[in-house]
This record gives sequence, C-alpha cells and structure tokens, in this order.
Amino acid sequence: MYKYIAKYFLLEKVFLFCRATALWSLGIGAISFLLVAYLCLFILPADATQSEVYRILFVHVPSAIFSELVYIFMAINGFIYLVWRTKISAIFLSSAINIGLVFTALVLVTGALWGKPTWGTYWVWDARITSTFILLIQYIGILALKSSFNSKETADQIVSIVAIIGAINIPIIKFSVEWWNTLHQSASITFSGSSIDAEMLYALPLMILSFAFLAFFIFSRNIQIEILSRNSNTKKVRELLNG
Amino acid sequence: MDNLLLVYACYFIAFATLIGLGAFVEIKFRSQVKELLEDYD
Repeated sequence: MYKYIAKYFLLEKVFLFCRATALWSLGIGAISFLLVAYLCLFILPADATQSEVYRILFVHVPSAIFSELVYIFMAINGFIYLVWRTKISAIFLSSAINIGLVFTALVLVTGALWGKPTWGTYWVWDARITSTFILLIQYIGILALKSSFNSKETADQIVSIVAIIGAINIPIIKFSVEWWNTLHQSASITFSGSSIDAEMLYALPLMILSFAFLAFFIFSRNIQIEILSRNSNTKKVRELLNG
Repeated sequence: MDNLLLVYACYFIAFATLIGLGAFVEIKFRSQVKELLEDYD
C-alpha cells in the first residue's frame, strides 16, 4: 500500500507537478479571493446582532481552519518521515511551516480586530486564544529550529519529533471552548447544524477554497525551493531546470 | 463606520499577507533557479 502511494511522490514528479500547477493556483486563488471578498463585503446582508463586524469571520474562520490543518499535516509528515525515512515527507513538512505561521498570525490579528467592537477588548488570555497563541510560538520555534542545523537530515529528524509532540495542542485548541469557560464562543458550525444563517453561510466554503488555492501556490513553490536546495548537485535537478 | 474600516482592514491584511508571502517565495525560487543555472554554465 505504502509503496504504491510512494511511487507517485518521487521528487522529480512532485517538482514537475508543482511547476505545472503553481501559477494557476496563484491566479485562481487571487481572483477568487477578490470575488468572494466582494461578495462578503458588499452583497451579503448585515447581521442582526453583530451588524457589519461579523464579515470579519469570513477571513477569521478559514485562517483558523488552515492554522490547525497545516499543523496536523506537518505532524503526519513528521511521523511518516521518522518511520519510513521518505525524503518527500521531510520536504512537505518543511514547506508547510511558513504557511501555518502566516495563517495562525492571521487568525490572531483578525480575531483581535473582531474582538474590539464585539467584546470590547482586542485580547483576553482565555483558553482558545492562549492555545492559538501557543500554536504561533510553536510555528516560530519549528521555523527557527529548521534553520539551526548544518545537517538537513538532523534538522528533519528534530523538526519531525517537535512537530509530533506539538500536535497535542491541536485538540486543546479545538476543545478549549468546551473544556474551559472561555470568552470565545463555541463552534458555530457542527455536524448537527449551523447557527449561521444559510444566506450568509455559503460564502464561507468559497473563502476556504480561495485560501486553499493561495496556500497551495506558496506550498508548491516552497517544495520546489526545498527540492532544489537539497539536490542542487544532482544530474536530475540539472535536467529538471534545463528541461 | 469605524467597524466597517476594521472589516476592510481584515480583508486587506489577509490578502496582502498571503500575496506578500507568495511574492517572497516566488522571488526566492526564481533567484535560486537563476543561481543554479549560472553554476551549471
């Protein structure tokens, strides 16, 4: 099973796939973001209780989703790297760090800007916000750790271990609003339904999709940078660049 | 009105951050490719 999947993740194939799709992803992501932003800002009606400020959630929620998903992705790749020593897993892990960092910073900034008119404060040290802030520190730490070793292999091993251990924070972020008494509200969308009206809700998956395209562009370029820096002296890379 | 400015600021920050990081990695990638091609020559 693993060998079957692995043959699709040869460095050369991944590099070529990223080269073919990166700029398309950027174009689709940028245009769709602008269109969905127009929809969220000017077409959707104002909320009955929060008025205009609820529109921030269309940026805040996708950032929150990606800040956690990216970390889970990193931890899974770290585990695969430690077990099977696949180079591509280490490359995937390294390529995702700055994306997760940016999304976590975005979720904190947009959350603070939403909090001021809604809660009357930019920041409170409640469980959800504090655990998300810890996630930001984890990303910064992993990014710093990655570049603090001369040997790529040592860096990959240490980063993988730290990413796996740090994954404990993800369920803490997710369930913090249920485990503790927090100012941050509990989930608006659950498997049993949504407290957001359908007239507004449909914009959320569209924004998530546009974020995904923009993130994929950054991810694919990061992958290409990693592949080139790790294999710059090989014949294959020469062929890839000249071809 | 103040709240609307906050809303616009959020969208601007999100777009500028993602496009900014995208531009940064694109420049890094292109300069890396250029450097490698020069080395091979």
